[in-house]
Amino acid sequence: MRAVILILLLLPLTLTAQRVTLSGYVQDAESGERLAAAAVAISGTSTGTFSNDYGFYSLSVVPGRYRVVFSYLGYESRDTLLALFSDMRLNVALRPQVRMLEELVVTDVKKDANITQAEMGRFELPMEKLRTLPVVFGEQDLLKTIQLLPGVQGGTEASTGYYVRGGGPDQNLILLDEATVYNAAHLFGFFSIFNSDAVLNATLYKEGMPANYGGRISSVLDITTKEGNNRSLHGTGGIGLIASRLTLEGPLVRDRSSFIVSGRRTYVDVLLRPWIQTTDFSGSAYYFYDVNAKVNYRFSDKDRVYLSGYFGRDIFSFDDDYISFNIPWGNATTTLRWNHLFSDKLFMNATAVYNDYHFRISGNQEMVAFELRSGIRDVNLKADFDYYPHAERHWQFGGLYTYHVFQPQSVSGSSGEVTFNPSGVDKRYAHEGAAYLQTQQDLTDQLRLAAGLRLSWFQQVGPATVYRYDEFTGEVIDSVVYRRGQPVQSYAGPEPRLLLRYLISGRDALKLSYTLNRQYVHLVTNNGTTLPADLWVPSSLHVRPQIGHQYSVGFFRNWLDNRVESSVEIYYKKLLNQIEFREGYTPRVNEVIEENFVFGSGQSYGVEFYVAKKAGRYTGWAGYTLSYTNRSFPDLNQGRSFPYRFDRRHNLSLVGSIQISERWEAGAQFVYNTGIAYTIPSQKYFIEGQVVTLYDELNGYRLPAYHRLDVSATLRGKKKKPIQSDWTFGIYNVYNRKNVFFLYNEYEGIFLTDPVVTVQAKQVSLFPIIPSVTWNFRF
Amino acid sequence: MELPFLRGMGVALAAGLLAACTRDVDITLPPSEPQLVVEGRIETGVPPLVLLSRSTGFYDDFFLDSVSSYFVSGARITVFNGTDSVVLTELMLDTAGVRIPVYVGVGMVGEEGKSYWLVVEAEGKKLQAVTTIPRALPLDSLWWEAMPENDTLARLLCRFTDPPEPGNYVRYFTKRNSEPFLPGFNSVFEDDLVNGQSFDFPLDRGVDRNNPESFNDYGLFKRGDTITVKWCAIDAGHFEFWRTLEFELSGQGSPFAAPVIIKSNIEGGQGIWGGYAPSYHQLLVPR
Repeated sequence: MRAVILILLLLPLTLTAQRVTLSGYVQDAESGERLAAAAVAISGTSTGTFSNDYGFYSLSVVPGRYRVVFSYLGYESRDTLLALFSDMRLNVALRPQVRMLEELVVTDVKKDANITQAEMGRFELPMEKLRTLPVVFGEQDLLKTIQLLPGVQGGTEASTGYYVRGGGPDQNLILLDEATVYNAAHLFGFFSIFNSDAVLNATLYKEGMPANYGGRISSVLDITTKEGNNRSLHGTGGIGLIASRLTLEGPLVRDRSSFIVSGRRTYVDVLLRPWIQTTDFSGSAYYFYDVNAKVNYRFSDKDRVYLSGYFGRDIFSFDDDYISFNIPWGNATTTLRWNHLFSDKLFMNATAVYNDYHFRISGNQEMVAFELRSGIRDVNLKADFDYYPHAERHWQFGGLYTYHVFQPQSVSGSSGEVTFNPSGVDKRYAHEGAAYLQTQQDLTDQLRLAAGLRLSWFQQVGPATVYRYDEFTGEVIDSVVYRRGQPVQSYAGPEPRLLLRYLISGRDALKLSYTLNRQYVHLVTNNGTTLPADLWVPSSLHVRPQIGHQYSVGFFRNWLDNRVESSVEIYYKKLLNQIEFREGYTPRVNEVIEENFVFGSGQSYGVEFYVAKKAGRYTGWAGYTLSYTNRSFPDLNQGRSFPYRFDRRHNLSLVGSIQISERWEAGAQFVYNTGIAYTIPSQKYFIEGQVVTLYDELNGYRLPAYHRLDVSATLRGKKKKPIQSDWTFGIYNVYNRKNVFFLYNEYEGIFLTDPVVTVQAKQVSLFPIIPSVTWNFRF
Repeated sequence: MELPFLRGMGVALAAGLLAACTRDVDITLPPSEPQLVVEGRIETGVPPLVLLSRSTGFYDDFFLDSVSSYFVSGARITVFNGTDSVVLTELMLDTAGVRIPVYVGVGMVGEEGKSYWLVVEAEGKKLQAVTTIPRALPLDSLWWEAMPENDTLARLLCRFTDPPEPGNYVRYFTKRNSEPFLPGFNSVFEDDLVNGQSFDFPLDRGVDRNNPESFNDYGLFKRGDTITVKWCAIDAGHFEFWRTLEFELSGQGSPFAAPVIIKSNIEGGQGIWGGYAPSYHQLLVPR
């Protein structure tokens, strides 16, 4: 820890020679969209940098003549001869690659970034590249693609839930234009809230996350939406089996300001209505919609402002003669950002975010009405700085502050004239703050260090009532009432992030990393999957922050002139202060939820193999993970450690696509996963003539292995037409594998009536072979 | 108040909307040690009554003619009420040719406000439990309402005044004419939401979960029925048992439901030792 601080402090002292700065923005030549993580390299040297999240780059070099190459995946590279004798501002527009049959010529030198960069476990997912991959119902989904990466486990069938290196679902930080997303799923997890038309790209970090990210202990998924074309008006859209999408984008003031609005709605409710009219499900309806919108205005080369928002709702309703209920839930986020260039070397992004996630059920059962609410609301302010003193160095520092309001499950009701408004359940309030500093530094030609330090702090404040419990009985023995704003409990701590890259040769590198993360808000669920009703709770007197330590070592090697990347990574992860519900917990209204928590630890370790080919006629990747994940809780499973639900021993993903002709493209993917750990009954007994189940071993049973093959084909329309359209045909689960979604047990016969009653376990499979067709258009 | 409908919703989604495909699967369980299961009760004015059985392998077949083999006879069972104790007498109950051992505490009856300690010694094991018979919490009144769509059915309504102090729990049973008392599908209530209030609510007819016919016209009575409601005050541990048990049953078959470990108040075994303070209420629904 002390070493890190020392290194950070000493780094500026190595600044010496006179330097000039080349800086500017990298953007898309057609739409004017800023390109994040575009490579900027001095040809013939190992000097280079990447544009930041806003397309800004800065490179300080000794004065001289240079050939500078700008490149970005999926775009034509550009190289320029520059006489750099004084500071220069250069905005570069890259043209998207025209699809062609022959192998693309790899020209630039930065294709070996995976070797040279001091980063591990980082995956860049440009949305455009994922469009041809097969998906269920033809609905593109970022979160389903993430599950195909090594070290990332998918949840149950077709679920968007993902689990990174043995971490829980709440341990993934998901940012949508810098706003934290608390529940990224629609419809019980089958679809994510990210509309593929609105998303520009996404970056996943499994380890070594830069210090500007924090608050979750397993991974970061940073999603950026498109800015909108600032040259001319365009539209894109699609009609699929279950949903339709429409996006409009264009300039507000040409070259200065643009907008994008993207909407999506499902129509399962409309399609199913005739089929369910005569069944028990008559009267039920479900749909979701979401809207993404973003505008930006460039005041000058130095100042740019973005305003973006997301609004999504799921609505599930049921109505028959006896009972009716209505369940809306969803997220709303608003992000206001200001990019400012203080100088060629200092870039700032200041952000204000408001976000709100809430869930509500209201219902009527004859004369009795009830309403249940839960949710979380954040206001967040943040400033991030990028400082580029010279080419080998990049400093980032900043800070953030968040005010959280948690609404735990609160219930009210009425029966006839009488209303019930229990007062026991209070909102929880908390401050969260962090400051960070990080840099990259070449220690020798071969050794590069990326070091970051984040200091985080969390404080629960009043109004609050805090209970003290009897050690033995668990009964409340005392309570303390805190006034508004009065501190209840504080936590703070350092979060060092260290990464060393050792270049063995130009083609291979060895990397080591250590990451410590602290997490102050927690999602505790007792369901098999995350449900909208799951609660987020803050750290408090009884709930301590989760802490994650991760150690990893990786070997990276590129082949065939950097056209093929490969890596092997070994990791060990320790999770502290993990939270689960106590045994026998059932949700109740009006309870102090923390009373039902038990605390323990978790660990995960494994090895991941990855090979990818990112450019050319054939592209794709293969990932294999061998991993072990368990949890240990003194109060669960009689104190014995037990496998984590998504402890999958083997996890294999093969993803490939091929450009067959100028208009046809085909894709396929295959996944094989060890079955999830499952709790099944061990014994049964009778009470009041009723058969009751006993469970012995938590997650002691394995479901059969999950495997599946999907294929897709895309036919692109002719380029010249004013409206271009694509047809995407897909087949999900080609060989109709009956993967187990869940198990249940059925009694065959009636107890105490029939001479024999047998118990039969049944497996339910969700999706058989499903063909799909989607029509996409753009103008 | 429970939230079983959320679990139910999961079942509906999985089963209905997604044309789920189901098939049999064979599961072989590792052998596990059978546990002793207590089904014991003590009611106001009634002697303690205990059935003692063994759990069996979950996937083992259940044969009606070997029911008696699940029950344990020859156990030494004692109940202590703080001043006196009684050793329960084992009787053989013969119902339709099935002989079941029943333990009865002759010479002791339940009293409101008293706690009862149970000790069971059988098959080399010792099980212990304690329960309390609280003060009875009678309903204020009962009445019925006709069903607009069907004039042969009736809905039972009640008025109840909850005592001002929190922590009251109830379990109820209903009886139609001369049928036996059956517990409600959700048979237990707590007063955390309604503490100290007076309110009206519909009360569902009790069901026999083993008999599908019992679920026809769910919750409703028939015109012409004589309804008897057995409305019993119970203690917290007793409530927890039925709450977790019924929650576990409601989630069976749902992909989203996690298994619920039923909270037994029996130390060293499974099951329930429960005290009841019943109040009885009767209503005749005219034809």
